[in-house]
Amino acid sequence: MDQITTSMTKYMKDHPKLKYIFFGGKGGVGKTVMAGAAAIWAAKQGKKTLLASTNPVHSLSNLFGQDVFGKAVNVCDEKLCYAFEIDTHDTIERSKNEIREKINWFLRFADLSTKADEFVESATMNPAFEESAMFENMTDIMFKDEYDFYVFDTAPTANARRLLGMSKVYSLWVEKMLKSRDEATSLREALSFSKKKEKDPLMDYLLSFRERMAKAQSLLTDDNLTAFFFATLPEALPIAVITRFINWFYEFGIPVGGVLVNGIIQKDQVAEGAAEFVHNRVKMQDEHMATIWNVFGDRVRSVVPLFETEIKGTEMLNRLMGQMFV
Amino acid sequence: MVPISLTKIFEQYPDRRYIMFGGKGGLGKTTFSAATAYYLAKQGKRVLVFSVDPQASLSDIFKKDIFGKGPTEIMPNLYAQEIDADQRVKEYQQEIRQKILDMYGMDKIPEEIESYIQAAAAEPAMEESAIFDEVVDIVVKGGFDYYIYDLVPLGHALYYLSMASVYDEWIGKITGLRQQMREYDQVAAVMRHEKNAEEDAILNELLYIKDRINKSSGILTDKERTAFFFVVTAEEMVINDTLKAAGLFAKFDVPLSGYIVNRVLPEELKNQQIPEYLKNRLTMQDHYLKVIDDTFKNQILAYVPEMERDVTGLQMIEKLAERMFD
Repeated sequence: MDQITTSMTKYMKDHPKLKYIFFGGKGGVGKTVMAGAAAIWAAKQGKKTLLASTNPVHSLSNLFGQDVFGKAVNVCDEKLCYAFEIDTHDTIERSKNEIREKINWFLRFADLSTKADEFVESATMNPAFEESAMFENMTDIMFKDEYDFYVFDTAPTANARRLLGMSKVYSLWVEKMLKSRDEATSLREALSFSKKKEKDPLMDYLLSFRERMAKAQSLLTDDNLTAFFFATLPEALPIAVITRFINWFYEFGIPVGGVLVNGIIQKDQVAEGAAEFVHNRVKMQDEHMATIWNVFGDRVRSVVPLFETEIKGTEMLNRLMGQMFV
Repeated sequence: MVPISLTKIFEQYPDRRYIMFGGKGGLGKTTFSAATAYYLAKQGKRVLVFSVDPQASLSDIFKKDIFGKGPTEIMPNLYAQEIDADQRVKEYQQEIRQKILDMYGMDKIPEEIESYIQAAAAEPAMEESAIFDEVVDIVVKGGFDYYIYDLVPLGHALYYLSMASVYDEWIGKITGLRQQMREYDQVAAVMRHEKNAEEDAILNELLYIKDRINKSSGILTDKERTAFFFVVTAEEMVINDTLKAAGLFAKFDVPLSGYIVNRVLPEELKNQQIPEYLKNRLTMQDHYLKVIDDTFKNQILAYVPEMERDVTGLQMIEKLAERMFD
């Protein structure tokens, strides 16, 4: 097989309710530019679109030549197209405050005079804190529902998989917490002299957290709403990486939209007497394309040519879009 | 544009036995790690190249499945290892189960506790600390002349590097608290006319961990024993990101040993018949090579050419090593 059975455009048409799309893959394969082109495409369909980067090292500002760090900015000719680099700083500060409040409340609850600061620090110095903050910001953006269409340029995909998978196990954990919390509250009420019901903020937090996680999970595993696209080059390593990823994603029940192949040298540009270097590259590419058709088959959504210049700015993105969505 | 040679650096600083390549995704960190390992092994050094990246590609590069198999011999003197974090986490869980069983003399883990153990494994910090732990094991264990760390793309490498200080502080805090509690215990013991407070097994365990982490983070920031190289390519975004990253790494006191420019298209292509994209890439490359030259000046150690096909298998690794260390 060497022909696309379901193109990117057809996939979109077959999934008219699609609202959240993600781009993943090995570093350097063109995730960001493909996400950019997809955002412009969605905006052209009349959808108010947000292109958000969840990569701790962002490159959207660079791509559009506009500062989009920490704020959604209209980035292209399409009035409906916005780009946004998630700034986790505020979320981390906010989480710190939330944790501080919770701990303070608990200390009062338990009649302890210790100050919360030390606990807060050791709780938030956890190295995974930024990662969770990124996930939280991402779900916040999804829940706010201010756009018709969302394109996420994700960090290295193993990380994304972990974040998405986390929601599943978190609900299990929260379930247990709620149960023991519930027991503690009723015990306290039973022992309480006045028998009056007290508000329990920790319980409220757990409840809302469970709700958030359940909601995130239902959005992320709904194949009408969500699709994860994997970008690759016709090279051995990126192909090997996404082959592994796709299997992981199936395990988590996260819908795989398909595979996008980037950077194909156009044969009509390679003259008979061209440099041997070029002929060798084309030969290598053919070998890898055979693997791609063989491994991913009808999940290939588009094969994008290698452009003569670097992709930067809306003009180039528009060109890329033209090739991605055929 | 005559670089100080990478070979000289290795000759000049024979004590630098911990080698790291940093940089954005897709620039060639893993191939450089493999080629350096190859070169050193050929010099008769015993070398271990290991990947701390959950989306590791060493298996793909050496064309041998080494995932989770410990140090695996690739050729005489050259060993490669890919850490299986999931496996390590499973071992942790088993350890915890065993401890609970021993401590409470149970013959089965209560369901309640089992689900806590399950949920804890989903914490994103768990995978990272599992990998970190394995790296400490590798380094503490010794037995090799050279250790080559194949690092994760920038964003996460920074986590990894910051983790040492973060963990150190965190454990410092916990041990502090434990020590205070121990003093109280002793006071209580004296009041109860007991001879000695029981030895605090938990505190000892924490101090053991702290010691391990100090050993490992000491290596990361040790100018005498560590060589940290940045990989860069002649592209605007890559140069910008590298500058940003170098600043961040410097903040963590990681000693930068220099920059290696990868994917340089051979000059002689200019005189041959080549397609438009290559002509443009060559022009662009001339421009950005100048930028690289101006930016990193005398810290450039090597210009590595774009190979005619991707680097997998020992034969290609050898070719690349010849170009890196000429």
